[in-house]
Amino acid sequence: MKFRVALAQIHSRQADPSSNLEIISNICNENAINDDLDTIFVFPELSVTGYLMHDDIFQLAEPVPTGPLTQELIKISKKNNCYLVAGLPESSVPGLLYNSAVMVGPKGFIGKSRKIFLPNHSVFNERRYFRTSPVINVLDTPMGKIGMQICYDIFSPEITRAHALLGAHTSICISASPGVRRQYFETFIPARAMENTINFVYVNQSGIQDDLIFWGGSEVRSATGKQIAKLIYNEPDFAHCTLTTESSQKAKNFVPTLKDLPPWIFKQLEESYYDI
Amino acid sequence: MTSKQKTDSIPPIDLETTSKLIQDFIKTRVTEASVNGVVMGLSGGIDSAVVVTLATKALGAKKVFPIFLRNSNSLETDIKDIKILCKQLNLKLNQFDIQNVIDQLAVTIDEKEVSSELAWMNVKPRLLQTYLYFFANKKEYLVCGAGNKSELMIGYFTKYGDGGVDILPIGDVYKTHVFQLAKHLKLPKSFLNKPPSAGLSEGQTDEAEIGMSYAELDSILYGLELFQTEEQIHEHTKISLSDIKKIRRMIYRSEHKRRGPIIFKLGVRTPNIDWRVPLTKPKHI
Repeated sequence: MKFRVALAQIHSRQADPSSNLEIISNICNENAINDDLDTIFVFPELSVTGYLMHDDIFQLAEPVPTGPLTQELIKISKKNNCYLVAGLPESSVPGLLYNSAVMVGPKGFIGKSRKIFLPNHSVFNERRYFRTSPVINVLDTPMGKIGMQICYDIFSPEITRAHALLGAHTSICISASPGVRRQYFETFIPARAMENTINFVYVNQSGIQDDLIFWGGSEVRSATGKQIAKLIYNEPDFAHCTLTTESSQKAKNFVPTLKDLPPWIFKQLEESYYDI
Repeated sequence: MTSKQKTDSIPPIDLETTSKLIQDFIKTRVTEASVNGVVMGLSGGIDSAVVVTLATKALGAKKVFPIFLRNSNSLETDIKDIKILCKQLNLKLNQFDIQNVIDQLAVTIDEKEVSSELAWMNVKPRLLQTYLYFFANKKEYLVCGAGNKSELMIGYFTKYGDGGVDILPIGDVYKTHVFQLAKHLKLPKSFLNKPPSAGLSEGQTDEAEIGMSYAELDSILYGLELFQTEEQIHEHTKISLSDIKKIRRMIYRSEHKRRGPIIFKLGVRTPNIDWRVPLTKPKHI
């Protein structure tokens, strides 16, 4: 099965969801393709609210999917007959926040994934606001099983591996990565695709928020690591490309890493975690 | 050991990308502050020459307001270099003679003993700040500073003087890289050849005052930036442990200059500590 991925590398406005929803709506509207392929528009981490909201986050976070921002994303999907992945701060119970990726489609809400690895080093301050997700999940979509992860999650190979083991053919990573991290991401993106034989979609923020420049450079890798699309650095950009659900299966015939994965490794990993 | 060997311990930067990113930063800050341009003080040194060049490339000459303050210590060579640069960038230079203002201050303050020397040296940068903000207010511009990372980290600037600005576009760029940026931007050679000087007193040079070359200073700072120990930096650069310790002391002693005023926390959320909002106002507020 073929489907289209649209990389929407935007420059989100800080703590300004109405401006960002307008940007998201315009991109979906201007780039809608009227054919038989389903299109998933992918927007960056916290694209609906901007990454650097600081303490405004407490006013902007909302329950997913009942909150007004998610409902607005659903309206945009319905209007443009497309699927849409975007990031926003989710409030579970009042005051308990997650950094979440949501997927919506023409028929409404599909699912969400919450960020697991919350950076609190260097310029990052995410654990000040967010709770870590206690689970790794994949979404059942009309395009098959798709995993979603958020930015720093990519530094941990276990997330994409879990997506692959849970049956996903594609892992989507939405990101807000500032410039100094580029070489890490550009190494991890093909690695995560190849080591797990899974299509990998990476969409980053671009432009300046406060004193940080987000480096853009979004890209798509096939399950064999081939670069299918690559966007420019530092500035907003857009491109779309086609992926297949079968490519992940074909790659597994050639590189059977999942088949060859022995279960005792996970037990040993867990034991060594408590030993250090 | 030569400076070259020590400089090599700092990796090169991508000059074209850095130059472009700094221009984007200047443009973004001006746009997001809803102001019309930037006011800048030019000293005749390489830092302000690099920044005014980048600001002009980012905003256009009409949105950059360069100021030079003349006083009895001003060097004719600096004035000549500034004029050449402004002509090259199509900038209209704004000159003011502040010697009378300094003299008047000297009369009213009437402090001439040796212990006042540093206080007097800081008067010129603080007067510059007054001029810069006068025109920034009048024209609705931002004040753009030219401090670099090397000077900021050791506190080699005047608090609320040249350090009192709205934006510091090369504040995260070591002096070693500022020289490289200057070459990349094709600044007049005179800016590259003259020894860096804060120009606060006659014959002063930065390197003599700091007590080491910028190449050595930057090697130490870069090691510290990467959390290296004093011994590791010494092993890598061959710079003496006493010089490395001296720079570490300077960093601690000058931390108060890099922060805003230190506020004593009493409330639930405190400015500059944990009351955090974005730099730009969202549309809905």
